[in-house]
Amino acid sequence: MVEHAVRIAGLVKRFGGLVALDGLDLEVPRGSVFGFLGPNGAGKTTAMRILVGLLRPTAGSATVLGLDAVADTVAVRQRVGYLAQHPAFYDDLTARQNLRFARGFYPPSPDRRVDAEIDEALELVGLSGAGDQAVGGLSGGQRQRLGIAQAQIHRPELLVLDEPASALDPLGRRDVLAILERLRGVTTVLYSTHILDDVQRVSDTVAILQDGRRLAQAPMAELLGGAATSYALTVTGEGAEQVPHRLASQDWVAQVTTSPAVEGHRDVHVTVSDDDRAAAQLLRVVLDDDRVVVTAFRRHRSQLEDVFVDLVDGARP
Amino acid sequence: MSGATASTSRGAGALTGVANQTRREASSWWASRRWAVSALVWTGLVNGLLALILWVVPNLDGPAEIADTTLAESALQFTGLAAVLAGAGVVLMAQGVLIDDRRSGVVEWLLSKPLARPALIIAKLVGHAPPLVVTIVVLPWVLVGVQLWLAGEAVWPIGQWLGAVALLSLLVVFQLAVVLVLSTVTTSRAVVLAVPLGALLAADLFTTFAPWASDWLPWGLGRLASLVLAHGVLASTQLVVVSVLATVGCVVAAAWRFERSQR
Repeated sequence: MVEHAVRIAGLVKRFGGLVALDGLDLEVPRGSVFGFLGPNGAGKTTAMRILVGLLRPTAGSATVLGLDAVADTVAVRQRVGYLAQHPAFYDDLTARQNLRFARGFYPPSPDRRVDAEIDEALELVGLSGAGDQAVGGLSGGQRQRLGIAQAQIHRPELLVLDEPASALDPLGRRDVLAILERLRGVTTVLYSTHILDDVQRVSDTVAILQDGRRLAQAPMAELLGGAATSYALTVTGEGAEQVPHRLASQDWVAQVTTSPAVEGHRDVHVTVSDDDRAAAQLLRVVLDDDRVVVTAFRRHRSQLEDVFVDLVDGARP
Repeated sequence: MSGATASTSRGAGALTGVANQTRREASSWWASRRWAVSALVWTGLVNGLLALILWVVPNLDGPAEIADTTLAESALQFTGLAAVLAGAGVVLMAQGVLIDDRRSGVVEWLLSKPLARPALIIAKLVGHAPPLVVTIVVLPWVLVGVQLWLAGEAVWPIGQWLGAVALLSLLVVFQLAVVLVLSTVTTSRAVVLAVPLGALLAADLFTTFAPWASDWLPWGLGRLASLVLAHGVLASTQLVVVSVLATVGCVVAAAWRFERSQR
């Protein structure tokens, strides 16, 4: 049985007439880098704020590391690190001073050890050179990285990161993803984002939310493995109009779509149900007719974006 | 980075995290020039007012009564005005103590740490009250004592001076508590400024029409301090008790309200 760092059951949160969470269920396995996906307004931030005690749920339950997120909120926060979507700090203090202040909420250690922890945290996020700069003068990317450093300054068992890379430029995003990679195996990471490439790169488990509900949750490989593979080819020649019919008759083909020929060239899109057979036979079937010429051929393996779009579109009324 | 280690529980209940937060609030004064600047400004303002009353006004051309004003009467007048200055000063200086942190997102950051909500309110009071009292009342009033000594050519009774300082300090702490409770209700700077300033100015007027209220409104501490400084008379012990209770009440209300807000 998988041990869970977070368990959410039937979580509901209403803000007046607005339903932010509508019976959310979620399990975050311990040790995972868990991507929390959803369009804007899906309820990701609300769920995360409930986990760290910043909001109370209207109904349902949430346990974090075996503790009730509402009744034991202070105990939860002793074992969890949190990064808000727009991290705020004391701008008059340096990065190092902010980390020392944040560290002060946790069990005391000798000064030398705290200094070492702060150095280690700054190094982890690549801010060793900016540790003595006032936070007010840091760039957006540096603030985000400092946010991760302060969230894990006490080496929490769970890191909850709300959109840690969304506001950053490509280089900043790359740095933050590298930090998440480095945290793999050190702690459980639950992070939200709407940037699908990021999730696919670093997450091992994914949940997709929409309208406050979970649409899907699975390990990344399983989520992508369940998605269809497709092939796109462009054919020409006298027998080209017969190609879609011949392909559709194969039992490993799920769907064939075609576009009208342009200057004798016809695009054919083939979704397959058995990729191994398709890889071995598809071109042979097409070229079985000597009159057909294939001018373009491309295999397209579904990305998380395809899965996400399918799920979200499919859930729309 | 070594493996994750479990943090053990620290602090208890409503006071969890209060020590760390109080250190931060206090250091925002003592670890910068803020306290020195504040002390200089308030010393100048308060003593400028007293100098005006003691040395300038009696020498102006005017009715004979003004020139004949006794030192005790001058001290009485001055303390009433100094109390309004102190009560207004604390509101002006402390207006952003909580709402700035709420608006900037710092409060959300703090509350994601093991810091209980009531502990944040208590830390704001305990961290800011001493520097406010020291810079708005205690340090300026050292020079006030010197001016009174010079004007009277004798040391002003130390007990009376201490009594007035203590009462004005209580007014400062009470006003800070009012600012805190308002800051849990709203993030509007205008409201946080207007209510305690308005009450400070209206209290005297109100007690003119309703004399019974003078023993019940903490904003009347200035009047009490005037009598203590000028004549060594504590006119109402009840008002002191009421002010202490009102201060505690505001802090409890702020903690209660904050526990339920932003959720």
